Order: sequence, then C-alpha cells, then structure tokens
Amino acid sequence: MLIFVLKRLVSTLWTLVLVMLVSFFLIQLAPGDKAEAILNVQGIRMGEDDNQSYLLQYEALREEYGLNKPSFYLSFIPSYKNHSFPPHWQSRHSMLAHNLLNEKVPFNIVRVYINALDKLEKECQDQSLAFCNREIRFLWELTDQDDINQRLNRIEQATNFPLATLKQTSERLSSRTVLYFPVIKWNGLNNQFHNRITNIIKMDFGISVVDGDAVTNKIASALIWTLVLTFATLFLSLLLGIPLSIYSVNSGVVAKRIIGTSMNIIYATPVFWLATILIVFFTTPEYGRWTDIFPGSMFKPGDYSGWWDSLSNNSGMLILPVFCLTLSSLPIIVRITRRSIISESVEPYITALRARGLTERSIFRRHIIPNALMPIVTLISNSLPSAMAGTLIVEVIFNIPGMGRLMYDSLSSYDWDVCFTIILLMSVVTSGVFAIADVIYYQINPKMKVV
Amino acid sequence: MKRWIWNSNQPVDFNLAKWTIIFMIIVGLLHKFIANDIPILAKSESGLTMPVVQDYLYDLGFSQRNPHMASIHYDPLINPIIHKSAYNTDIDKILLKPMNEGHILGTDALGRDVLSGLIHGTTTAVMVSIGAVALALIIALIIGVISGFYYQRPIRLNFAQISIAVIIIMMVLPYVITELTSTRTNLLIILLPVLIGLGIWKLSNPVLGKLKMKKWEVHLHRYTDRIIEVREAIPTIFLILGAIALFRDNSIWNVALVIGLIGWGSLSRYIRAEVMKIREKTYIDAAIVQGQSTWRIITRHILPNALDPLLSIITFSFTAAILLEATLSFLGIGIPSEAPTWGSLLAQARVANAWWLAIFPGFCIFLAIASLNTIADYLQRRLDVRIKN
Repeated sequence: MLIFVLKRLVSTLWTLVLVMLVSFFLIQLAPGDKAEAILNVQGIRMGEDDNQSYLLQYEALREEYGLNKPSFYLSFIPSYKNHSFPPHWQSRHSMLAHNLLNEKVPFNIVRVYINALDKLEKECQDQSLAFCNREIRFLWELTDQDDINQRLNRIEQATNFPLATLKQTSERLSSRTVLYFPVIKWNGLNNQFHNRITNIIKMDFGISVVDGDAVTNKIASALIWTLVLTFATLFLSLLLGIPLSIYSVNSGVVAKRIIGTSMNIIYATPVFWLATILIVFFTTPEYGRWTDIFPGSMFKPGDYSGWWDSLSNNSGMLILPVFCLTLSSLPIIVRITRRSIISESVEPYITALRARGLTERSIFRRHIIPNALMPIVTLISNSLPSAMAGTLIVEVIFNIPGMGRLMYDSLSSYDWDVCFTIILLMSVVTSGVFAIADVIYYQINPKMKVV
Repeated sequence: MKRWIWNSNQPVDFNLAKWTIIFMIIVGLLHKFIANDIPILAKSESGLTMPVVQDYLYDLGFSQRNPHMASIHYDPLINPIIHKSAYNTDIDKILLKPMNEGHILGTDALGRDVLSGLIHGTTTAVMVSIGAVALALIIALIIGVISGFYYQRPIRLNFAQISIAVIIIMMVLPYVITELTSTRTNLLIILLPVLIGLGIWKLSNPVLGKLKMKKWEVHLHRYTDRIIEVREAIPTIFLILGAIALFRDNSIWNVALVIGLIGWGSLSRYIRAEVMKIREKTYIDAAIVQGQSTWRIITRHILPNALDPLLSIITFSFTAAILLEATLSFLGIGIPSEAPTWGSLLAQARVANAWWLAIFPGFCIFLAIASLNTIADYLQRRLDVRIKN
C-alpha cells in the first residue's frame, strides 16, 4: 500500500513538472512579456518621440525581473541567429538585428544594412532635419522590404541624400537562409525556468503587473468564490439528481420519457445560452412585472472586511450562476446514477434476495441503492476539476470575481504570472484528485498498476 | 458504417438529427448563395457574370478580383434568398426587432442582419469543428495507438539501437523546435530532418538488431501515457485561453488549430482503450506470427476494427469542438471581431438586452449540439446491440 502511494506521488510530481514546463513555454511563446505589460499598465507606450526612453525603461525592467536570462537549461539556437553583435551597437541596433535575423535574413546583410542606416541617421542628426529623423525612427522597427523602400523613397524625395547604397543593401534583405544547423547551447542553472521553479518551491509566485499585489493574495480571494460556486453546484445537483434518477427508474413509461427527454434537452443546452436567457428575461422588468425576479449580475463594489463579508453581502447574485451550473451538471449525474441502478438491479444477488421473499421495496432501498451509489463517489472526484473549470464562463457572464474571471482578465492584460499560477493550481487540483481516486481504487482492487 | 447511417428503418429522432446536420453542412458551405448582398447572376457590360462564384474563387485564392470591391456596375438578375450581408454595418438600423425593414430576425448592435449572421456563423462552426476534429483525431490516433498497442509489451532494443535512436532524436528535435518557434516557419525544414531520421532508423535497424548485445526493454506506452496525463491535468478551457493568446491576429483557422491541438485528450484515451482491447484478440497474434509489420497490423487489422466503436466518440468530439468555438467567440477571443458567429451574436444579447439576440443564436448552437448528441447516442446504442448479439 505504502509503495503504491509513494509511486503514485512520484508520478503526480512528474506530471506537475511537465505541466510547469508546458505552461512556462506557452507563456514564453506568447507575444509581449512582463516588462512590456508593466510599462503598458503604467501608460508608457512606444511613442513617436520617446522611443529611446521607452527602450531604456524596458531594458531596465527586463534586467530587474531576469527576463534577459536564457529561458531554459538548454537552448536550441539556429545557426543563422547565433551571432554576437558589435559592441558599439545600442539597443535599437540589436533589436532591429534580432527582428531581421528572426526573418532569416543572413547576418552579413543585416550588419551591412544596419551600419548603412546608422550612417544615414548620423547625417540626418548633423543637418538636424526633423522629418528625416522621424522617418529613421520608423526604419529602426521595419523588417518588411516594401515598407523600408517606401520610407527610403520618402526620405529621398524630401531631402537630397545619396541613398543609393542603402537602397542596394535593403534590396538584399529579401534573401533568406534556407539551410542551417541548430546549435545546442548549455545555459547553466541561472535561467528563467530554474529561477521560477526555485521561487515556486519557496512559495513565491510573483507579483501581478496590474496592481502590484502578490499573486497568492489575488488567487486566494478568487478561489473562495470558485469553491463556493463549485461546492454549491455539486451539493445541489446531487441533492436533485439522485432522487430524480431513483424516481425515473421506478416510474412509468410516460414519466421516464419526460425525464429522459428533458435531460437530453438540458444536456445539449450550452450553459452560456441558459445564463444569457436568464439575464435577458429574468433580471429586468422589461417583459412584465413578474419577470424582474432575480437580482442583477452586478458585483457590488465596496470595502469589505474579508471574504466572508463580501460573500454575504453579494450572496443574492449567486442564485442565478448556481442555478445555471446545477442545471448543466444535472443530466450527467442522472444518466450515470440511472445506469448504475439499472445494472445493479439485474445482478444475480438481487434475484437471490427476491427468492428469499424480501419485498421489492426493501430490496430496492436496502440493497440496490447503497451499491448503486458507489460510482457516485468516483463521479464526484472526476467532476470536481471539470466543475471548477466549468465555472469560468459563468463567472465571466455574471461578473463573479472568481478564478475563471481572474484568468480571463489576466490574459487580456498579459498578466502572465497570474495565468501561470492559475494553470498550475488547476493542474495540482486535477492530478491530486485523480491520485486520491487511484489510491481509493487500489484499496478496492490491489492489482492496479501505476502508469 | 454505411448500413448504419443510410438504413431506411431508423428512429425518427435519429433521422431528424441526421438531416439537421446535413442541412447545416450544406448551409455552411453554400452560405454565400443563401445570404449575401451581391447577386448570384447578374448582367454586366461583358455579358452574364456570377459574382457569388467569383467571391468564392476570391476567398479560395483563385481569383484576383474581389466582387465586393468591383467597380463594374451590374444589373442583378437572380438575388440570394436573403439579400443582406452578414458584414455590412448600419448605424441607423441598430437593434431592429425581428420582421422589421426586411430583417427577418432583426439586426444586432452594429446594425448587421441577424439571419445572415447566423448563416455565416454556421460556416464558422462547420469549418472550425471539421478542422479541429481532423487535427485532434490525427494526434489522438498517433498517441492512442502507440499507447494501446505497446501497453505492457516493451520493444526489445540493444545498446546500439538505443544510441542510434537517441542520436537521431537529438539531431531532429532542434530543427523541429527552432522551426516551430520561428516567425517564418518552413514546414519543409521540419519534414526533411524527420524523414531523413526515419530513413536512417529504418536502414540501420536490421543491421544493428543482429549485433549480439544485451537487450533492453523500452516501454513506449509509458511516454505516451505521460503525455495524455499531462494534457488531462490542465483543464481544457484554461489551456485553450492560454494558447489562443499566442496569436496576435485573429482568424478562424487559429481557433481550429488551437482546439485541435488541445482537444485530443479524451479521444486518445478512448482510442487507447479500443486498441488495447483489439490487441488482445487472437487474430492480431496470428498476424504477428505471420511476420507482418507493425505498420501493416495497425493499419490493416487494428484501425478498421476500432473505427466502428470510435464513431460515436468522434461525433461527441464534434460537439465539443462546436461548443468550444461558441464559447471562445462568446468570450470574444480568437474569432475575428468583425465576423458574426453564433457565440458573438449571443454575447451581444447580454449587453444590448435584446431577446432576439438571446434566443436565435443560442438555438442554433443548441440545435447543432442536440443533433450531434442524438447521432452519437444512436451509434452507441447500435454498437451495444451488436456487441450483445
């Protein structure tokens, strides 16, 4: 038993490390990084004139959060990108070089082009031509050949610089590296992934870029709402679903048909359609006096002295979300319970009990129901993670400050630390629940093996 | 399979569901002939033209001329049944109630016709679900078949074979990673090293296999099972939201790609279970004894027998794809904001408090899902009957 639990624990940890790896690289690949998001929140954007100060601030933030370190222990650098830039290049030079190399332009062409551009910039600054300076600022960000030529033509028309050499080099920017060798590089332990993992072991999940609050605080206050929603839903749907399935097994053909059909209809109804209909029809007095029966979906903002205060003050707005979620999880519970009762009632021991002369009523109550409800335990363990995920869209629709809402908001503000931690927490819950379920199965059936 | 679907004596609900889905696919593919603001047949200076056909050709990239932008004046002869564009916004006609000014189902918050928006949304749902399920099925087949076929049956390799495999992987993986993360992905540069690697493996394997060395057991299913487990550990909707954020531009193909790349979890577990079941049959052992190759056994003996049981779960994955697409466009993520879809029209209902926007788009989603569920249930029941017999 102990060996099984240990093996299962190690397997879960492996899975969690891989989940971390996957979500880490997802966030690495996403456009925009933490430094950009912080500057964006502060209202500092790439402007027309203060590009230099923006880049300086950006570089400083990247330095502060260690974003300029390599992202993983190993890196695969294609040989067309594996070049060290001349030391006199400033950040705008290396940024353009990076962008051009990403477009697979060979490095010697990139170097010639950037040097030519640098020369042109110096000439412009010497003659202090405002138009030319502005155009060149754009040129530092362009990689597309047609755009570059357009700008160059405009400069040529406005001034009378000899741009023939620059144009010639920009013509060559259309050439691409086709064949290359990837270079495998060992980065050592001082990389972003390693730092993140050590931070997580120290229980430091970072800081939200939106309000500077610790990620753990944000998630803790959001988790309460999601847990309340999830457990209220689970409780109510079991309270409704089990009696309904027992009733439908014992009832006549017509009632069975009605319950079966209505469950099929509810099963096919998307939860966001149900929620929209409820909001549109039952929270406003527009369609008659009696339709205004539910509180609106607005979360009352205000200063609450803790989560319980805010929960009890806003509990009215949980009625509709819990109703939607309960209704949408009801068909699955009814279906599984019904199937389990039916398969249990044809078992041979039921026939034996009948032969002993027990009444149908007592067989059903004392024997079929207790045995048939065993799969419900599994059902709860399986549906807990999906129920937590299922609250996402309901939270967004009804404006509940739960985990799903937090994830949705964080994604739109590129708040990657929060997203990473939410995904990690969700997978800890999911794999934890699966592991516990496996241990329970093992007690029933010790032949089971760990994957 | 053919017998199941085109049988004449089927229950009414299955027939209804079947024809609903066929109707939706036809509407989705021919939506420009049904709802459009340009005519099907028109008379222009150069004779008769078919602007809708030109529009289709333009979308597919065969024609350079966009009929919407065409400066040539033409007299319409045959107009589509619903002569309204799903895209054209009209500030004077926002939130018209149904049956007003020729808008059968009213207009939305931007003044676009809702009915042609729903027809356009059918196209999005059909395209995204077919693309996503096709991609998910390919991934699920690869992972599920390896997982099921090699379950507790390790392949025995000697040291030379293992080292050659490691070397090949170390050579190929950097190309795949650098090329996939590059901004200019060239599929040829991924495919070429993979093919060369497979070729080296195929050629060297018979020679190296004969070397007299200690053999090691390699459990392939452990790796694929771990991949499935990692995928299942992250809730789908959270992973999809995270993955959609990778794309700066919105398009329905990105949505299909992401749903396909992520939605293979449950599909692969079903394929794994089904392959595991068939792997135990004696005719597979017979084929192995005959010396048939693994590839042939999988494609000729296992997959054809696994197809029928998998039909209902594949139908269910269409449901899941449609639901995910609707959820994403309801949240306003991924699908281009100017393209009307079922989900984006439904999302407007909450803000605009318009009952026709709440009812009709939601009913389209409901109809698609209910029909697919009915078909899947029927396929499952037929399978249960067949197994009992």
